Amino acid sequence: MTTTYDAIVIGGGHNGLTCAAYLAKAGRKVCVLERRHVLGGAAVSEEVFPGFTFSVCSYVVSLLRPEIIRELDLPRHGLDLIPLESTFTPLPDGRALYRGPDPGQARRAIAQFSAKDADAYPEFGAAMSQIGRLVKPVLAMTPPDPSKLGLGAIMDLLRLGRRFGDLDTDARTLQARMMTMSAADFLDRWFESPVLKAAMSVSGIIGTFQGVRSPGTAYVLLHHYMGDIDGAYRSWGFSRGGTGGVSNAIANAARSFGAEIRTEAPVDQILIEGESATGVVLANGDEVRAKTVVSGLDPHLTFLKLVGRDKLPDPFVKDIERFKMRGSSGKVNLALDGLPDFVAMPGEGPHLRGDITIAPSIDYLERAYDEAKYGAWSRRPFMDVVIPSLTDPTVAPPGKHVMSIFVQYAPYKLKEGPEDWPHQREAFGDAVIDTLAEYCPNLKDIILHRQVLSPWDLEQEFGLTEGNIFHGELSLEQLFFQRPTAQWARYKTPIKDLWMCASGTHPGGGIMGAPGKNAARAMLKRW
Amino acid sequence: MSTYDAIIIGSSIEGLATAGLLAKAGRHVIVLEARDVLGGLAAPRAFHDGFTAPGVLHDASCLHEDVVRRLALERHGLVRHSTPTVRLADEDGGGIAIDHSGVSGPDADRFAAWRAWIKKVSPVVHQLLDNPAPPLDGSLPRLAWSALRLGATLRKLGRRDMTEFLRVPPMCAADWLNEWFEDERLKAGLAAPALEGLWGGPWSAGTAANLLFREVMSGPDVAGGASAVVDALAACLREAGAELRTGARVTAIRCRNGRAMGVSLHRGDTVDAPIVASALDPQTTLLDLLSPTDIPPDLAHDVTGWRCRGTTAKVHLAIEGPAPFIGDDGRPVDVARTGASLDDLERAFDAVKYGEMSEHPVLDIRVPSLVSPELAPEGHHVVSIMAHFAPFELRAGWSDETRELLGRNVVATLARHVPDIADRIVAQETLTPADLEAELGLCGGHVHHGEMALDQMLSLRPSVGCADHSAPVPGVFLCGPGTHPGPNPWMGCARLAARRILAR
Amino acid sequence: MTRPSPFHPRTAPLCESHAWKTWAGFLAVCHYGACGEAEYHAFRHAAGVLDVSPLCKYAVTGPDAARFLSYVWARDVSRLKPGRVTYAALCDADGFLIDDGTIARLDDDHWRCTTASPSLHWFARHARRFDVTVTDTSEQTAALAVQGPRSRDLLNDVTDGAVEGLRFFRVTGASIGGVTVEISRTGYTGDLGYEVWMPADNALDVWDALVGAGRRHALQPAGLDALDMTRVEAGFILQDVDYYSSLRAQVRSRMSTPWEVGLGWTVQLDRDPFIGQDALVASEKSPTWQFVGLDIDWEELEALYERVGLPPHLPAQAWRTPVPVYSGSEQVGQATSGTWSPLLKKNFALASVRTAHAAMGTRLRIEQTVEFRRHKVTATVVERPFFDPERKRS
Repeated sequence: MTTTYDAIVIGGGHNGLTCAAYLAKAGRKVCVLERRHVLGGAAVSEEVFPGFTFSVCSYVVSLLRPEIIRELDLPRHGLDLIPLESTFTPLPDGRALYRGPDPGQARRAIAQFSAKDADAYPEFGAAMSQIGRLVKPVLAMTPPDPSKLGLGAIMDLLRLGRRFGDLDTDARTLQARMMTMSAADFLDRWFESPVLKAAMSVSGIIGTFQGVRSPGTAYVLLHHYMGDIDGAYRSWGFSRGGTGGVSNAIANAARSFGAEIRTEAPVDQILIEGESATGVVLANGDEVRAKTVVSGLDPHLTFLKLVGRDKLPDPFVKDIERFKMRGSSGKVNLALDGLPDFVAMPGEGPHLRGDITIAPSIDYLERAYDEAKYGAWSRRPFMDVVIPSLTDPTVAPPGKHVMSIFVQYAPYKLKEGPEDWPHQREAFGDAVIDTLAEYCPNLKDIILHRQVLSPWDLEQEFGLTEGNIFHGELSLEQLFFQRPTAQWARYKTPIKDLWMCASGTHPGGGIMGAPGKNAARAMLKRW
Repeated sequence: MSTYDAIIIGSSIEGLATAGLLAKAGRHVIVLEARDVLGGLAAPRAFHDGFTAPGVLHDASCLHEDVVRRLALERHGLVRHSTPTVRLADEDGGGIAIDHSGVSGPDADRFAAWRAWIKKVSPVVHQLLDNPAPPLDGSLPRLAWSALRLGATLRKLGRRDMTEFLRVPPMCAADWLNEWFEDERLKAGLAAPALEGLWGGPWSAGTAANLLFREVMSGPDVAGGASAVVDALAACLREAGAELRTGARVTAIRCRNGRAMGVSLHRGDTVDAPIVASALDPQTTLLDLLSPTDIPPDLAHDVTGWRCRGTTAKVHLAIEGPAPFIGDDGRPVDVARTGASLDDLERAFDAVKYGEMSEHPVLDIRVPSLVSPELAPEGHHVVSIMAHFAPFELRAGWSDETRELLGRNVVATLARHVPDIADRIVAQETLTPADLEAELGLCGGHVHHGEMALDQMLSLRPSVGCADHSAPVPGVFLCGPGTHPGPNPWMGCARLAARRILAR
Repeated sequence: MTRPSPFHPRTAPLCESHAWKTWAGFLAVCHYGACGEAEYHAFRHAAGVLDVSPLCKYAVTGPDAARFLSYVWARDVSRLKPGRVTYAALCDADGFLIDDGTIARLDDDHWRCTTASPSLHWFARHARRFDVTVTDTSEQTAALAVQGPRSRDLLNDVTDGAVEGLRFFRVTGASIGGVTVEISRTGYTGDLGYEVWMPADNALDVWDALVGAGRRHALQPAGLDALDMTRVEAGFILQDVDYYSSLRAQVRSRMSTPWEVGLGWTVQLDRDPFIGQDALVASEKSPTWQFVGLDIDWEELEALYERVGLPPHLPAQAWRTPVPVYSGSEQVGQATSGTWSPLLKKNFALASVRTAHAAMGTRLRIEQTVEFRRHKVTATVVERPFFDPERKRS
């Protein structure tokens, strides 16, 4: 075949698809090449057990940019988001913190633990929204290159600076501090109840190899409040039919603009001729040519495997090698015969429809992290549990349910080495079930099927290096103009006509779509 | 009764240096010290008959050279000697050494390269720490101006070093060191002193900044340790005509019409001056000495959240016989560190998170009597140990028993390297963070007046509203290590505070 | 006096919010939970059950029923077969709209029609020359709307598959919980959905059977707030919000022809005489107004909020306070209701605008109050319904 495309997108993850959709929308001839038989990368739904559809990896849709939903008209292409509107934190002593959508109810629930905290809670939310407003435009911008600031970049920075300048001293202090504090320390400034602090702190650590006491985790808390500012109220939610629904909607949008999408087309190598990328070689030996190549894979895979060290400048290779991946989380998917019955809130109720968090105390979370630090999975892990079948009955047979358990920590690098995961996987799964069963004793009786995914599996199956769900640790030195490296954080790469568009670039991971869109915008500027 | 131009509260090194700089500028200054001895944490401790430890702080290698020069401290008796050899000790008696020429062992070359890189970026660190912090509460143009100036210095580094400089500080020390070195002892040995006073282990983000700053700032050591710096400062002050009053505990800063007018002392008397500079920690100064009506409530709220959870314990040993560590050249070593790996250090910190003291603390050991034999009787030595980590808020509570347990843990750890040490101990003094608070009035027993975390540095030290060393009350200033640039270099806070005061 | 509906014993304990309002003299739930959003999502993603008993319902029987209905409604139903339902406009002699509703032919001579406000007097007034009986069955007939993508499966579960082949705008008899009911594939949410009609006396049995089986289908009881959001998305008009009944309108400007509120497609002119026929023939050619859908520009709205330093804030439910719509500086109409669509992530309004400004894609300006100050935001005329899933008809 001799078709020449304007762009080839490697990897049909949600960012690759988003990038493809925007390029196609701008009239470019685009081809997406996905290794697996399904689209979505880590944002994928699969019928793992007959009748039970799981969002195999990522399980909630958090930050999908509303402008992308609007611009690509995703609802028309099948996107359906259902909000998660409550957080239920059962405690080992039989009490529970249940924060529902009604502020009055949430206030009373918190007041059981601290009357002061109950009153500080809305104030905290308002402060977060204020800071969130400041951060939001950053998500949509191409990071500046601090070593050669052009006029445009200076203008961008000044605009950001002006927003900062608009804040009062109080808010400036908060903003400046929160960028580098730990989630636990930050929450300490607001709240006294360890139960509330623990329940809130976990949003600072999801997907990172950090503990709630690790500096830098406070900033991530902000993401929880970013939904509000888009008017996409409570934008944390499920996608109908699983997170694959998001990917499929984006794929449909891309197709509607004329993009070609091929599955089961694994890319073996990026073709480089002279200084520039000219296409890819598939595993079956076929060559596909294009004017540009965009990688939706993580930086390690893209450069160290598909391009090859020998074709890249040494300092860049070094930078990519030291770009930290560090998968820290696992996933347990359960097919259930009924609903779990929590000791802390027996029976059915809205508490099962929202987010269920096993995070009884800061120390509990920190101990889970400590184990992982030294190369062992947490025996009593932090868990983020959702039962999507309660709001989206399409994912399970009537009366049955699917439960998704996000587990942290499961370090990729076990003491025994990552290759030991296949031997430890089921023991890890057992620990997860045992821990959760302490809170809902009927759990073991209602499990029909179980799927355990370790970071090792995420790497093998989904091509996530070291099983990192965000294509690279979200630590301060790997964000913004340093993601993935300081000189190449603008979606461009040292190879001419080779671009990056996935979570390993600004603004990072989660089903956000922003890297894909930003990359497409940066590319189109060049054309 | 004489009137003063300025009152300095606290005779710590920062307090004395501030007084010195003001006195040199012709101001009539009085230093008020609560205890009977000058120096605060740097005051000598005669902890046993004939044995003196030269201060709780035992590493006096980070002095601000500019202040040393301006106060002519060397003329006043300060003796600098070259950076001591640091022994990173193994339990079997082996180990590697870091000295002025570098490090022994497999990482020798990389260490030289690492040091060279640090030297290269040191102008930027100096620019950051030697100048007032960017005025976050100021107008945008002022803020932009200070950002541009920093940017200009940064750009001189060249593209690669500049981006590297931006990358390193937010990292954790462990990641940074792992990128450079292989020898676990070396990594632990370099990280440990940078963690002093931090509420974090080598895997905590931001500790690379502490390590970088410390490496840039450290210079030649001082003979006689911290208390020798106090002596030199005191001599300088006396010559400049400043008054030093001990046994004078300040209970309040008095204000009238929204301006400082002096202080009240615990015996009920008062001292008047239009300028009051406090070298105490920010919480004590802003929340205890000033009345709540004097400072804006937002600032009070922010300072209430100031983190100063002490994690460092101090142990002084009086031992008989030779110094505990011997170098490869057969000569006694005056600085040694334990901790075989970064993970050892991290584990030592882990305990703190749960309100426990480390069972196997990591020790930073000095033998000051090797350089200053007068500190111990003939044939004896003083061993000064900083032990990482012991939390101020010990879950079990600090008591005689827990203090003793801490002491035993420290000695047991030391004994793994120096098996006969226990038998040679003549006397032992153990200072828990709680002791430091009780004795020296340090909030949280924190030796640096507040954790030097990324969010408590620069413009945020101690708070946006007073990072320029002036409290919101005209005439009241902060000059302790709880202000920018923090504990290192010594006298850096004093220098900026004095500059701010004199600019009035 | 406001009365409880036949389902009140079941709905009242579930209504944790205690948010009620009156609807045609009955107590109706606004939202069961803290807000209506979860109920909205039930309609769109699983199934919601809404008590629609307050609808005005009339049984029309007798040999002339078909002729009579074709006379009073602006739609010819004489050829409507039994088991079918249609949607029609009720107009006065001047061709102005009185009401809108559904007409179902349950049997050869047995019809049921629904209207938004009581219309018995109107029917009775015009029934004199026909051999029909019109009975107000509003009180005797309870009704539930079961709407959402899972509603078919749910109803099949409780009726042994009675709705499996039931097509859009058809009605069938069935039995739920031992009670004989009629199920029509109709609704006000613009989604796959049904309305279940039953004797008020047996209402609770039907409820229990439905809600019991509903657990397997994530059925949620839903209130009027959720309904209002879905009906705006579906582009449906609402009496007394988007138009006024000409019988109660006091001035001409408050009256609308079916053409002017987007109901023209239901009007069949070329047939036997019916009420308003001549006037409608005349008014078809020159409607002053058009009923349009507006997509309000989000970025502009956000920028307005940004200017005052606030995150954009929209009410969590549909709004129905009219606001002016401009072309340039000239007011060319008014938006009468609207909603933020959580599904489409867009801000929509339904508006009446002058015909000259009603073409698809016309960029108008809608008034938007931000922080007590009035602004204008771009609103583009777009296709109605805003949301039109295939499953609605398939």
